[in-house]
Amino acid sequence: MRSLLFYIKESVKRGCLTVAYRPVYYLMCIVVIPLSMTVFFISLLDKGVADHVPSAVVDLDHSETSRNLTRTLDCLQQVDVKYKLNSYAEAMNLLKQNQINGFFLIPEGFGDDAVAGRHPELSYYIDFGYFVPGSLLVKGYTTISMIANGALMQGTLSAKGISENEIASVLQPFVNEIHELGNPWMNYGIYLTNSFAPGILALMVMLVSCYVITIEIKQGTTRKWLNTGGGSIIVALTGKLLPLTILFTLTGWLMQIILYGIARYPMNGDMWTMLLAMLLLVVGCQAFAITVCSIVPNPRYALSVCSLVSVLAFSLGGYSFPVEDMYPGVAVFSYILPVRYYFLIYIDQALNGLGFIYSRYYYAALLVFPLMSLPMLPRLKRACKKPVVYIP
Amino acid sequence: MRRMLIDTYRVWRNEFKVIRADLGVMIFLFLLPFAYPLVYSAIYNPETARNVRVVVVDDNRTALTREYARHLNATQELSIIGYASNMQEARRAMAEKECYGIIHFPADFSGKVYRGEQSVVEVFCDMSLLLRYRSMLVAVTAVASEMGKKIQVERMEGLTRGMATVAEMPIPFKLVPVGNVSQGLASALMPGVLVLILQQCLILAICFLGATSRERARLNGGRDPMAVTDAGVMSLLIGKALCYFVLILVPAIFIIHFVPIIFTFPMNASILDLIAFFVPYLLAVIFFGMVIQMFIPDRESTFLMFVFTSLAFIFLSGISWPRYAMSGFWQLAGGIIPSTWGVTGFVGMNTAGASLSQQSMPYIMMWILAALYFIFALLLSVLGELRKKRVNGKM
Repeated sequence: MRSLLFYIKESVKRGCLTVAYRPVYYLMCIVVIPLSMTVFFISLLDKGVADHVPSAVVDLDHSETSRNLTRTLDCLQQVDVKYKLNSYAEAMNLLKQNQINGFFLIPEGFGDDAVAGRHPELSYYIDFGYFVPGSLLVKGYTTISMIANGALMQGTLSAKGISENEIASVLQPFVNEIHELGNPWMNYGIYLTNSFAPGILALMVMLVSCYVITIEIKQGTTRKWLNTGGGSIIVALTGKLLPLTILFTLTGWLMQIILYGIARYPMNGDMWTMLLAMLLLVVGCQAFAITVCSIVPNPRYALSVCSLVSVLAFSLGGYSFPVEDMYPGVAVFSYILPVRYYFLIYIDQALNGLGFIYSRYYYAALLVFPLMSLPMLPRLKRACKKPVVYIP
Repeated sequence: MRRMLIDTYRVWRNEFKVIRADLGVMIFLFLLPFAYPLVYSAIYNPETARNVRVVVVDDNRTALTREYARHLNATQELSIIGYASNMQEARRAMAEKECYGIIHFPADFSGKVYRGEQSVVEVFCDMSLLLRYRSMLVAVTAVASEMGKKIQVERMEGLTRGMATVAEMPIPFKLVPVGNVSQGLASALMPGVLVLILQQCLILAICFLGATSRERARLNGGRDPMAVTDAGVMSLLIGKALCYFVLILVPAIFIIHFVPIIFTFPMNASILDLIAFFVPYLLAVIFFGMVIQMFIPDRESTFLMFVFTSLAFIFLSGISWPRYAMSGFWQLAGGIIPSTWGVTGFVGMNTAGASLSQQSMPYIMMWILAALYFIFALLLSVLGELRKKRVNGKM
C-alpha cells in the first residue's frame, strides 16, 4: 500500500502532463482568452459614457428663439446635433437609416407662441431600439425643455420685479441632490467589465475543467487515470485539476491587477478580499464542472451543459437585470451560479468598500460548491470504471 | 459545369445524411434555436426594475416630508421599506442589502419651503446595477416636479395675482418613443440577441461537423468515410452551405418571426423585407462558420474556442454599447462579423420600422462578407487539399 502522498503526486503529474502535452492550446484557453477579453472590454468601453449621441433638430420655426434653443442643445454633453433639418420626414428617414438615434422637433411659430403664452409643444422622437443612447437622449432633451421653460418664466417673472433667488425657488421648489455611490461618473466600463471579465474566466474554468475530465472518457483512459489516484476519484480529480486551479487563479489575479491596477477601476476595499474571491470563484467553478461531469459523464453533453449554464450566467447572474425583478421561477437559478456570488462580493468589497464581514455569506456560498460536488462523485467513478468506446 | 452541379447535389444530399446521424449537431440546429430565445426572453421579460427598495432618513419630521415620502412610495419604481433614525443606520441597512438607496430630508426641509427657498432632497444610490439607478432617478425626478407644482401655484399667487396659469408649464413637451414604445430593456436588447443566437447556433453546428469529420479522417487514414471524397472543392463548399441554409430556415423563421410575437417585441418590418434581408445574413454566417471550422482541432474544442465569442460579438454589434462610441479599431472589428450587420439591420427594420432600402448599408455589407468568407473558405480548403496531397505523396 503506497502512501496517499505518492498518489497525489502521481495524479498531479498526470494533470500537469495534460497541459504540457498541448501547451499552446491550453495556454490559449486558460490565459489568452480571459485576459484578452478583459482588455477587449476595457478598451471597448474606455469612453465610459456614450454621450454625444448623434441626433438632429427639426426647426420648423426659424426664429431667433428656435435657433437659440438649437445652439443650447448642441452644447449639452449628451447630445451631438449632427443635422439641422426642415421636415419631420427627413429626420425620420435619417433615424431609420441608423444615422441618428433621435431628433428634437420645434413647431412652427414656436417663438411667438411661447412669448404670447399660447403653450407651443416641443416634442422629441427617440429610437429606443438602442437603450443606452436612448436613455441619454431622454436626459438631454428633457433638460433642454426644462431650460426653455425656465428661461421663459424667468423673463416673465423678472419683468414683474421678482428677485433672482425667488425665481429659482418658484421654478423648482424641490431639488434632488443625487449621489451615485462608488461610480459617480456612471462609467459603463466600470459597470460592465467588472462582471463580464470574471464571467468569461468562469466560463473558461468550467469548460476547460470539464474538457480535461471528459477527455479521459473520450480516450478511454479513465482506468489509468483512476489508478494514478490509487483508485480514489477524489485524489485523481484533485491531481488532475490542481494545475488548472493554479493557472486559472494566477490568470484571475492578473485580470484583477489589470482591472484595479492598470485600468484604475474603483477599488474601495481591501485587495485581498478580491484576490480571495477570485481563488474561490475558480475552485467553485471547477466544482460545478465536476458536478456536471458526474451527472452526465459524456464529453459532448457535459460540455454542452457547461456552455449553456455559463453563457446563461451572464443574464441569470443579474449583472444588468436585477434578480429580484426576474420571475421567481427564473430567479432561483441565479443562486446556483458561482459567478453570482463573486459578483456580489465585488459590489460589496471593490465598489462599495463595505468590509469583509458584510460579504461573509457569499464567501461561504462559494465554499459550498466543492462540498456539493462530493455526493455525485461515486457516479463519476462508476462511469470511469466502465469506459465506453468513443466513436466520433 | 454539369459535373460540378451533380457533385454539388451529391454533397448536399450527403450532408443531410451526416447531420441526421449526429445528435449533437441536431441539438444545435433544432433544439437550441428554439429553446435559447425563449429562455432569454423569459429572463428579461419583466423589462424594468420595479419597487426598488429604499430607506428614508427624515431629519425634519413634518407633515410635508411625510407626504413627500408617501408620494415616493406610490411610484411604480420605488418602495420605501422603512425609516432609519440616522444616516448611520440607513447605511447599515444598505450594507446588509435591505435597501439599494437612501432618501434624506435635511432638518431645514420644510422651513425652506415656507421661507420660499429651494429645498433639497438628498438621494444616495447603489450603483451596482444601472437599471436600479435609472428607476430611482426616474421616481425622484417625477416626485420632485409633482410636489413642486403645488408649491409653485401657491407661490405664484403670492407673488403676482393672476399669474398662477404660468405655473402649468409655458412650453409643454412630450417624448415620443420610436419603435420600442415600452422603452423596456428586453425589447431593446432581445432583437439583437435573437439575431446573434441564430449566428452562434449555426456556427457551432458547422464547427462541430467540420471537427468531427476531421476526427473521423484521422482515425481512417486521412479520409473521412462519411464524406463525398471525389467532389471538387467548390462543389463541397457550395453543397454543404446549401444544406445548412435549408436546415436553418425553419429555426430562423421561428426566431425572427415567432419569438417577437410570443414576447410582444416590436415588429415593424414587412415580412418580404425581412426574408430578403436574412438571405445574405445566413449565407455570410455559413461561410464565416466554414472559415472558423478550419481552426477547430477536435469536436469538443468547439466549446472551448468558440462559446466565449458570443460575448465579444454581441458587444461589437453595438446593441448594448453604441457603435458611435467605439474606437475606429473596434468599429472595424465589428464590421467583419456578420452579426453586427444582421443586428443593425434587424433592429432598424423591426424596431424602428425602416424599409430594406433604408437599411441598404447593412444589406450590402452582408453580401460583401458572404462573398469574402466564401473566397476565404475556398482558399483554405484548397490549401488543405494541397497539404494533404503533399503528405500523401511523401508517404
